[in-house]
Amino acid sequence: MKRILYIVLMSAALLAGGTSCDVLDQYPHNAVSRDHLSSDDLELLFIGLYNYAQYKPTFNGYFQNDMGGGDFTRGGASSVASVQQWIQDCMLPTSGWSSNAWIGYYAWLYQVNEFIYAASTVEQTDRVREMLGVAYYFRGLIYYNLTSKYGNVQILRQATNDPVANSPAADCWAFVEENLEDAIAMCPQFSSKNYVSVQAAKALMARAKLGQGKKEEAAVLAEEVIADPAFDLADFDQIFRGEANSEEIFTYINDAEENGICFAAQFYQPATTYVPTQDVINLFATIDKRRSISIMEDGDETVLNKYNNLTSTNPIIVSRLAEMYLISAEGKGLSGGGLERLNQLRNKRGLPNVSPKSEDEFLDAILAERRLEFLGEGFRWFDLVRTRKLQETLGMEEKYNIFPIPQTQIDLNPNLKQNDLWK
Amino acid sequence: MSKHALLTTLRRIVLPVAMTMVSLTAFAQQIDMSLDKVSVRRAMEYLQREYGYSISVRSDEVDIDRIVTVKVTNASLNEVLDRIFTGQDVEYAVNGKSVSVRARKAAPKPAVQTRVVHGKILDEDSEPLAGASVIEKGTTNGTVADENGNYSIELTTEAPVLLFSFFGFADEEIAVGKSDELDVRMTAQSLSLDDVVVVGYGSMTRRDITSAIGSFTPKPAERREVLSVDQLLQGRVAGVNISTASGIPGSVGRVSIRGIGSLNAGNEPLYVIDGIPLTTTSGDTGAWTVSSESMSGLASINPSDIESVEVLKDAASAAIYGSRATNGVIIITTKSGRKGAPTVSVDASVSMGNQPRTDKLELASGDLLIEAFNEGIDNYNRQYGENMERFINPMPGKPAYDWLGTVLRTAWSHNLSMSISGGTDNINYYVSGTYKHQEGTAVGNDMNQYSFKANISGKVKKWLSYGVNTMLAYNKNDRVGSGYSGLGVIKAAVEQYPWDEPFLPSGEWATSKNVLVNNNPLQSVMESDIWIKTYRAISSAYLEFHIIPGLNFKTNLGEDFQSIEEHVYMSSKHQSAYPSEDNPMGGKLIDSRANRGSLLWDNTLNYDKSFGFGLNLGAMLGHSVQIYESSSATQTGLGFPSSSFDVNAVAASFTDVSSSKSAYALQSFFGRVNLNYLNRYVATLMMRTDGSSKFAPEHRWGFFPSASLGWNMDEENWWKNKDITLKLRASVGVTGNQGGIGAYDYQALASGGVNYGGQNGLGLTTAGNRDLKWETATQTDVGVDVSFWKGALSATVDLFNKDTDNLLYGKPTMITTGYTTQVSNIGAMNNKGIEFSLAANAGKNEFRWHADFNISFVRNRLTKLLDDEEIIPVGSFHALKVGEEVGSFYMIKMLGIYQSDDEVPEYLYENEGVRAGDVIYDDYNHDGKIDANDRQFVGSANPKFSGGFNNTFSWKGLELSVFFTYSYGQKIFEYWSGGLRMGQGTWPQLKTACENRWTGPWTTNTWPRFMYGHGWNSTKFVNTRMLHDASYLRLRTLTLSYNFPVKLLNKAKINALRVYLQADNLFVVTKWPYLDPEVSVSNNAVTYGYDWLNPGQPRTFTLGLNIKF
Repeated sequence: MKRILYIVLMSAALLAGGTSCDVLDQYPHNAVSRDHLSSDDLELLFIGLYNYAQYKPTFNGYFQNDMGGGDFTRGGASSVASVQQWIQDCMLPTSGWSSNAWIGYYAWLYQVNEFIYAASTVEQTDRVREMLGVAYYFRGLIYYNLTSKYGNVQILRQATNDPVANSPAADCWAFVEENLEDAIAMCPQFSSKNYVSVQAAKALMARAKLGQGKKEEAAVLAEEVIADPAFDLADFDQIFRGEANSEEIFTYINDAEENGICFAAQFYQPATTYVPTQDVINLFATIDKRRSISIMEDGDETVLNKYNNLTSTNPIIVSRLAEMYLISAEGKGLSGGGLERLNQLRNKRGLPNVSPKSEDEFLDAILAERRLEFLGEGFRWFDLVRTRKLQETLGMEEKYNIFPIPQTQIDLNPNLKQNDLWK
Repeated sequence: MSKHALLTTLRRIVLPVAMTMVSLTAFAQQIDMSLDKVSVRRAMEYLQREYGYSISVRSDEVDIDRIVTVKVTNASLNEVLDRIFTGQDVEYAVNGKSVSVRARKAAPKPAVQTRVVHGKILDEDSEPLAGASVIEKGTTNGTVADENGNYSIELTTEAPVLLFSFFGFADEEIAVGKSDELDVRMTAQSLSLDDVVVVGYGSMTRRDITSAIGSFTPKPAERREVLSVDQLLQGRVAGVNISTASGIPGSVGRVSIRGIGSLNAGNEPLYVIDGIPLTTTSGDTGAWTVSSESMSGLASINPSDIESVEVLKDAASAAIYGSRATNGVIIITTKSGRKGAPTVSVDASVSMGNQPRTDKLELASGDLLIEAFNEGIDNYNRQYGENMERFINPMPGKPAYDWLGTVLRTAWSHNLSMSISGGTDNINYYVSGTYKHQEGTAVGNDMNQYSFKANISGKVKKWLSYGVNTMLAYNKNDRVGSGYSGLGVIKAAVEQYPWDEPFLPSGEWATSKNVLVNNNPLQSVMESDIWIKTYRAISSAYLEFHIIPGLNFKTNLGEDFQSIEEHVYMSSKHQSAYPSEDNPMGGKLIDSRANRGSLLWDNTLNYDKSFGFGLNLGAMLGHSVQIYESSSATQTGLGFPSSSFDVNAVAASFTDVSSSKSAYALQSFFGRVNLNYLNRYVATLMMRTDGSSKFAPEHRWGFFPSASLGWNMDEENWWKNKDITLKLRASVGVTGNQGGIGAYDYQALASGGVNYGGQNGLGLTTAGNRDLKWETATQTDVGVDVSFWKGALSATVDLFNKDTDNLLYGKPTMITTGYTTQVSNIGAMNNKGIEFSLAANAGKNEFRWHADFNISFVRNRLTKLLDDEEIIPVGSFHALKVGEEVGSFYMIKMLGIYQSDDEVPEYLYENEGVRAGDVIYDDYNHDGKIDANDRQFVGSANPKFSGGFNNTFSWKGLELSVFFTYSYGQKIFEYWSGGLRMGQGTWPQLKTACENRWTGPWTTNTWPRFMYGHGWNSTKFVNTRMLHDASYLRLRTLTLSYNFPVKLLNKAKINALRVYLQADNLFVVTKWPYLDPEVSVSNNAVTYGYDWLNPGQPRTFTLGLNIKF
């Protein structure tokens, strides 16, 4: 009797064991296999692009131009003797200032390229064309950042596992323009500052043209955006304190729930990792309406006050109208009537007109304005680089005109070469 | 073969007993036996194993190698013995379950004297040894202890000497003095051939073991007041290298068996508790890892419930656990009841601990700091022609404020545990309850632990037995910041100016917002309420069917459930939760929960058969399936009206709200065959196959075979010296690893949650790798077990070689592929080593000495990695390279200090501002510059050798135990360098940094000059200035205890009373210049060995007592 019982039990055990093979098929609850993606998922992947776009550059990517521009230094007990020293310590092939941003841009690019590939294979409806336009905008934005900072970067038109070599900077700039032309042709019209529009693409194209010294083309594009009835200059307490305004052309929502980056934690007490230099603090006139939003006293230090949500996040502005005014002014030059746009902006900010006597003085006035207008918004270093003023302004070696390509990536890819100045 | 030697070697079943004859009493138990042509010895072993008899045979009178056939059913013991000893003229004496057998002789002549000596026979734990034998030396006069350990013997000689013996224990020979009462405490023999060793899915005697298994059975003198089993094991087993956790109670230690098992984080051994492989050893949800150390889930297992710990070191032993055995297996067996009257045991202790070596972190006084800073300013001004202002001491002459003193304290801990155990013929039980309160040396850091244990086993029918093991534990762990964090209590305390104090004169917190230069550590402790509550239940229940004699089927159901609640509350006055634009009230609560559970079902079929020609066969077949599931949820609330509200229901807003789920499963088939021929030749063959859901179906199954052989040379007929035993072992086997990789790493995934603007989005989150396969390790082991003088000195030596292939690792990839890493099988590595352990017993009667020593040498080399040329840097200061050790430091090497400007190379002089007093770095590639290309391999954090040694002296009831652990050849990097920046920035500096600074030619060749704003000497390069030799010798414990004499206690009806005083971590001899040479921020094998001012292990004094009745 009992033996029969055992036999039944053991058979049951082995049977259960034998048939329970499917316990080994386990799948995640927050993801699906890529093989199961369909064209219906294109919209979802498209939304995902925005998410990647806002967080992948990392804080380093957003702040690279401020770090390298000489208007910030380290705060607290880590203070350094001079900004030059700090820049020298940060701009290294092994530093996160070089690698985090680079890695972020290419990780984001991968998502964009895969999206472009997927969207190109489905029926080209109007909606698909719009989404593709936005993807081209993102690719243009990625390459604007990469090539303006690192010079000769790797051009990837689609995702690949091959070790790609660098392309000359001129080709990279051409690639930026190519993508933004497509974006201008395909993006939807402006409806919300939080989504990419034709206007945002034009604004970025204007910036890219100026970056290459194509001043007239830049000015034309900037004027097109200024002329758009959707936009108007607004005050800083609207722009940076989350109030409705018409100045912002494209802004990432940067919600903490959506991988948002907390900028404020870098600037305020108790961390005060990065503080504006006394020089730039002194430049803010008391009548400047930007002053209280740009800087404030926090404990014993003066800190950047634009990103003030310490426990969560602030939106990240990509393009706003003030930049178009200043691009237009610079693009037209003094001789082309650019001064009007400069003074319009200054008046809006509570400042009197300036009257520069020469093109050089005019350029200096524009750069001074950009320095105050965009403090902590990621412009200063490239403004100095593209106008060839970095060495004289900061008294630094020539190599600081370009970021070194991250050592980790060079180590992994024999075809990727370091920028000549950094060899 | 001399008869005497036979007695020693066969003590497991054959006890040298002669005794006065007692008539055989009728005995109720019915016995089934079906043995064909086996030796008498095998038949008795069978009786012992299956029916629980303890049998002694006077083997010089009885032939135990005689071959017999016994086939009986429902027979009485008497009938069975008659069959076994057919043809031999013997007598039996039965006392309960103790049986003794001797040749029938005429009764000895009655002695002239009629003195009777009586007493108690106990083990070291004061448990009675029922069945232990007592013989009057030189006579045939003897007796056996009853179930309470009591014996009584009538003496027959003039100067009587009593010989006490019991299987597994060292023999005791005691001359009878004037007293008629003689109590004996017998010592368990370590490395004894008769020890029962727990192996996977069963147990064996050490004689039959052919692989490398280390055992540790904690004796009272060797117990430490620790929170978890890994701490208990430190220094006890050769080849097991344990770096204890930091001084934060419950933090994670590092356990590595035979070197580095894997590149991945999956480097921990598999823990198996009473047959249940643990699926999680984590004790937190990860909600607060940014500011503190990881917590260990092992703390839920109460060390005082542990009976023994077995470490399966080589593949031959571990392969039975197949896929999870690469890093070795630690089998924990908890206590169970023994047959006998109920024993109640109560342990109570109180201890006091403090943080040693804090003088190593003494801050420079205000005057010294300002002097050094200003020297830095002067150097700067001189070098650059600047005119920077000098610092002014705000409070000249004020002694440095004792910041460390405000965050450290004397930690008081106490412990109370009680257990009841006992058993009858049909049931054995052990139940216990423990309360433990352990304080950390940092203010606000303590751990409360409640645990309950019940182990019950018994027989229902002759053919059915059962058992249940249950453990319930509840921990509450109040935490403070430590580890790699700006809020680490010690770090923040030594980053203060010596003239600052934690409070302003107004009574408000001094903060970095007002006067302080860094975070106020006291503020961050007091303005927060951070704890983890852990609930854990580990249980198993089995049924065992005894189908026919020798054939058993066991089905075992197990579970391991863990529920964690993590609460991280910071008030609006805490640095991380000040009021701000988006959190106007301030205050923050992270409320994080995790549930982890695994279910296990094992089925094993065991068969044992003895063949008449001397062959013994044991076979086991099994199937196991284990499913692991986890889920977690976390939410962060912002804005709390006052600190008396600490639930998210009152929060003004929420951020970081998410939940997750994960699961994996493992299905296995396994089998084992043991062969034993005449006890001389033993062999074990094993096979296990595992299927894991972590791999694609085509790579899912892994096969893990092993084979081992042993030769007990002393069993050979030609072996002459029977005082010496010698065993040779050799084994080879394969184990696997799937730890350390994600549950779904083979799958290319598009993940949700990549949202924007409140709309759902997807992202291509992983590239997947369908080629992923098992990491496998092939290990060979050769060992020798030898003992001299009847086991008084025994030694074990093992040599091993372990080749791990298909190493699983997150291979760094070019970001142009979309990802920075891809989990791949990237290489191979080798570990080889020697382990040596020694145990010695000496002394007689009242004075005893017992010593254990172990040492192990391990050498690790990466043997294959991608294309073999590459150096893969990992983290900031480690790298992987073929030919180098895993976990090697890779950084720029400091050679000394430039003593004059002339020595400085021109390029560095011009471009880097290097001058006399600055660090000389090794220009490894000779290009004149110092940069990342000059990094080189500069040693590793893994010791060249390590181990422990213990000495226990006892005299009468007094016992002194001294236990050292040591480790040699490892280095630790001081990642925290704030106090060593030598004037770069305005960081407060350590006194040593200021006092030892370079001030002129040949003042020092190790410390650089002070120089304002000069990163060259501190932050510019990760370099060996912060890398130090961390070899150490630690007096782990010193224990003095006293066992009160039994005769005193008998009057109070107490069985045993032991009081002890223990000092833990009394001193450590090391060159490491900071707190503790054992701590590391990360336990990852690849990035191991850096410190961030984690609190060190405390120095603890414990007073305790143990009482049994």
